[in-house]
Amino acid sequence: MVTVSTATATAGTAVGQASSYLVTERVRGGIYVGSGADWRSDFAGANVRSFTSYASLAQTGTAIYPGADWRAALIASGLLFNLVVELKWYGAGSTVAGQAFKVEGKSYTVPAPNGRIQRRAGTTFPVAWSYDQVLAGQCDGLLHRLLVELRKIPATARVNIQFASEVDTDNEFGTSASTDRIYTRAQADTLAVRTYEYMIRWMRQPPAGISPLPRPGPVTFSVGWSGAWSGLDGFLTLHPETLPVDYVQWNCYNQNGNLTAYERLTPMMASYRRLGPVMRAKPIIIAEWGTNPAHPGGQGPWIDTWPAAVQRVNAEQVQRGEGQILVTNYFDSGYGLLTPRPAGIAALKRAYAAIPFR
Amino acid sequence: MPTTVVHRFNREPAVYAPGEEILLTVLVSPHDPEPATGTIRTATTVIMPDGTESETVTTESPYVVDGKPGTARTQVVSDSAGRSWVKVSENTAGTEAVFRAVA
Repeated sequence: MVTVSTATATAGTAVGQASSYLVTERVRGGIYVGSGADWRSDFAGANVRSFTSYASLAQTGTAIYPGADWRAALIASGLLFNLVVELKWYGAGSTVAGQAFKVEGKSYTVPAPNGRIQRRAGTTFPVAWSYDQVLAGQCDGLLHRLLVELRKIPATARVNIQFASEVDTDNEFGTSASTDRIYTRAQADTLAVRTYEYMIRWMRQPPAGISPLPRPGPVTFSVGWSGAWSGLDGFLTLHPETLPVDYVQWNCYNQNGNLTAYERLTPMMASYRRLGPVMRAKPIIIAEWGTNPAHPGGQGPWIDTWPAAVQRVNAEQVQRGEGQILVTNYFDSGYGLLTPRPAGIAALKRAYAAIPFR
Repeated sequence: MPTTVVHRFNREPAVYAPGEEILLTVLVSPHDPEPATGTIRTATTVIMPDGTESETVTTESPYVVDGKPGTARTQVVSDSAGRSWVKVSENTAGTEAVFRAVA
């Protein structure tokens, strides 16, 4: 809250008056393009100030960060890099077998991932290191390998490590660890929060003899969440007051029905407002947002309403003294795939040139 | 009546996005000293053409003297966020001044 004071001089006396106003945060408009493609020429001239990329913890450190020279260039120019790092094994380019390697002179033996997530009936369950394996310290080598690369991030950069893409999607049907431990949704959520606390604390305060990330410094942490559809209980379980994240985050899609942008933002804002006072003071990242091209009117007009909806949420939040949305990255793939692409790109350029992004 | 000053922003509630224009109107009530009141006592004597004088008749009537409005001038003296405020307008009597800043 900002206070402005005036003085009025009249008839030899002065009368003072003060009043207050509030200013919300500037929001970073960002993008992710499918397959992690280089989007710079497509979005040339757009006010893009953040971007997302996805990696598996199975990949080597440099393949995770920065993953490509063009991303390092964007980071150096001031964009906020939201880097999703998953326990999920992606397949090609990484290995599902156990690994033995050294990092900074320390020897690690990382077992093959024994977990299964996103266990939707009729699908092949994705492979991931299980919460059990992480909590047993068996993935420490993977964390150390990533830490070495993150230490190289320039001090003026902004890199947010988002562990898990969407914990609720991972745990929706329960998870398993090896063949003999099958966890319900609730059990998986309880293990997940312990796991991500472990991972962030390991990165922040690694074991003796391993240099930590500088603090304050360019690296922040968050844990991914999909949306309110998965239920408030899981969201509250994943976000105890002690969760050492720097942002709270989730995704926001206009799918399964055509609602306004504000209507799409408010369900998770309601969940966020149910968090404890420490968590609901943290800034918010909308790691993915998008709208279905099949909805009446298409994507352009809906995208045009996004800035005002974000600003409306932030105006409400600043009056409450709670966290505001600082980043929204459009997901140009899957649910949000820009179709037709030129019109979608033009709409995002307009949106990111508008308040509160400009 | 003492001078009173009221602030009014161009938006209610006064919440702005970065880059937006903030307009602050300062309304000043006219400076008005306490009115003066009292009684005028008049004594009247009628003099006849032959030089006789009537009795003196005394009348009394109340009077009120209003204060005269003065002029006022307003300035922004501080902004806790350090924003610069520019005076956009102020009328001659100084009863209304408008200031502008950028959020």
